[in-house]
Amino acid sequence: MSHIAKKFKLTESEAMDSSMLICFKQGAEGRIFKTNYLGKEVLVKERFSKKYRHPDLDKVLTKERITSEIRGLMKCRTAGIRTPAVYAVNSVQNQIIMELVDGKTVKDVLLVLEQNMKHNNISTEEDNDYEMSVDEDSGDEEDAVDSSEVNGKIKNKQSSVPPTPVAPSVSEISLSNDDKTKAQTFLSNIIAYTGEINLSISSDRESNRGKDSEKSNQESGNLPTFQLSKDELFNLIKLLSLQIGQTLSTMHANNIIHGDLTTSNMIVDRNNCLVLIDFGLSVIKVSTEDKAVDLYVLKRAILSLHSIFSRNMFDWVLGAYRRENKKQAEAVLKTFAEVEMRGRKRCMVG
Amino acid sequence: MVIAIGFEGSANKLGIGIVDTKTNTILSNCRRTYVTPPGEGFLPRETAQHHKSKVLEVLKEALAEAKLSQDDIDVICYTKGPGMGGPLQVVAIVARTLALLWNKPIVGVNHCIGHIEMGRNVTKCENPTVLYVSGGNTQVIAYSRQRYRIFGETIDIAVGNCLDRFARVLKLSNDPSPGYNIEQMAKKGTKLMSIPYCVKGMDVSLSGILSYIESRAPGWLDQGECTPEDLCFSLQETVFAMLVETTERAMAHTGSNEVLIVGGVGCNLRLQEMMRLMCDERGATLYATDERYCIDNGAMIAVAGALEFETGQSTKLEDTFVTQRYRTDEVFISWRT
Repeated sequence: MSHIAKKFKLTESEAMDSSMLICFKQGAEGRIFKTNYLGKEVLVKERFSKKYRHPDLDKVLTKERITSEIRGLMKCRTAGIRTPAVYAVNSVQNQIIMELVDGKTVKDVLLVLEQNMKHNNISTEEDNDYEMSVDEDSGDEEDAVDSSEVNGKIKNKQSSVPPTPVAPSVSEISLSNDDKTKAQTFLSNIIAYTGEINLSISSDRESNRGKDSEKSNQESGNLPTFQLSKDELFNLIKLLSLQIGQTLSTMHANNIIHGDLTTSNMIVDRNNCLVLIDFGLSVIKVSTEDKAVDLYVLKRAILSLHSIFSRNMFDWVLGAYRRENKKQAEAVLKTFAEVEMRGRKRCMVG
Repeated sequence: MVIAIGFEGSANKLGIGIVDTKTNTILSNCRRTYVTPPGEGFLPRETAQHHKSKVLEVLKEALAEAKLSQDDIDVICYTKGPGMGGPLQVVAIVARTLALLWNKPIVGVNHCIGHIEMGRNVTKCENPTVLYVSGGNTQVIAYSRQRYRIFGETIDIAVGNCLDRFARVLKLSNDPSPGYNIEQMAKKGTKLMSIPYCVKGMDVSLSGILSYIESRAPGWLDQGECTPEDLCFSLQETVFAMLVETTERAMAHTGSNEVLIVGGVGCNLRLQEMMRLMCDERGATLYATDERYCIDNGAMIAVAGALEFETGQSTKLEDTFVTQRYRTDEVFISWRT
């Protein structure tokens, strides 16, 4: 549209000057700004050139990723997956102008829950085991819900046995309508808390000075008091896992590979709807290999950042993923087992 | 507050180092490297023989340099894995024998943890995102709840392995190390050849890049499309950009603002420079060490072993075996909060 084109002429010369925009996040991919565009509050994602990269390589990669990002966002939308709407693209400054999604990332929601668990002294049944290195030992495919037992059984076992690929464990989510509604309400409450609370938690994470007592005191001062029972909490995580699993299944059924699935790349909006973002590494591919790698990336992101929930949560995601599209899931999960082995093997000389 | 001696020999480097945790000083850090002729890599059997013939000489040197006798040592630490079986075993036998002979406790150390703890000790960084790059490992690691958790890693060969094998194609010298010689060559390179760029989420894949450059290099060189220097330059630029990118992605995910580079490839100044540029853009701090601590050494094993020993743990003699597969995230980190 000429109007937009005109707008862009303008922005290139003056208005979109980065210094005038409010940068509120720097991801690995680029900077995110909030601004006003045609009378609407929007989000601008700018891929700035990475100085560490050779200029030629940088140019190629940046162009490639902008294209992938838009393609991924649009394809997902067509497939019925909620993604931010793309309003305009500025190919000179490598900016994408898109919808500002009002909500919280799944990562932040989980971190709030984790704080809540600590507050209420809810134990996380898994303390000193690391699921990734031992989960080949748990033979039970169908029913890994009672993870305390599973973990107790395999605790401290070293994987010195030559590993063979075993299909990942999958847990069906059983969630009654009643529990679901309750969980929905809790979720909306958490999403409704914006600004301060959310930020104080994440900035504590950022400084990452460990969990000293001094910090937890400071935290307890400004944390919202969510009173959840352990069951309710797990229902909430089930609800999230369910949404994630379903969304990913649809995405993969449409041959969209996200490429960087992490909990920070998923937003729960005000309607409790899951929104996928950050499609810079996405590709359109039919291969089960890529779909499996996609899930593997997510598993690791959950394990490394949300180790407190990890085992249950990822199994639930897979459960929902399978329920949504059994045929696809079976093929993908089979490859998934192989993909997982690669990482594990990779410990040799150094 | 202990004096610990560390024995390292998981690959072609044999190192024995002594550290004093009371004063936090490295009293000695002696090393021998098994260097193979150009075009060849090191094989387990020959490497083990090399270590066997040098280990006692290095031990005496380490004690003499530290001006200590056996009675001053409080704990003996050795590399339990991961690494090449033969060389690991040679060094473990020496460590075990000394533990019995001198009647000292013994601690088995994970090689990767040794690198990380040494890096933290030397640079004094608190809670960094760690890029561990060497001939056998390529991992992006962050600490959480008593484990060093792996965020991203190579899904096939390690970056050091990729560089070493490429050096063999160009018949570069293995002295002092193939990676060092590639780095020097790359400084003279100017033309960036197009090489696959392979990042999968937080993981990288390097074997395809190696095959690609191995198969194309002879043709390119014959036709004069580029020089060997350009190839070294292109390979470094591409591969290091992948590593920096995955590290950055891990940092964005965890919200961390410190980076520590460890491992043999970590002493490559171009990698450090690229990482520093990335850190500057994010307002983060880079911590890196030089070849004394980056490359496998005995002191790092002593540092990590001493940390474990100070929490009251040591390895039972019957558990002092070696293992070729020993992931970073298998170790329970009792000494951190």
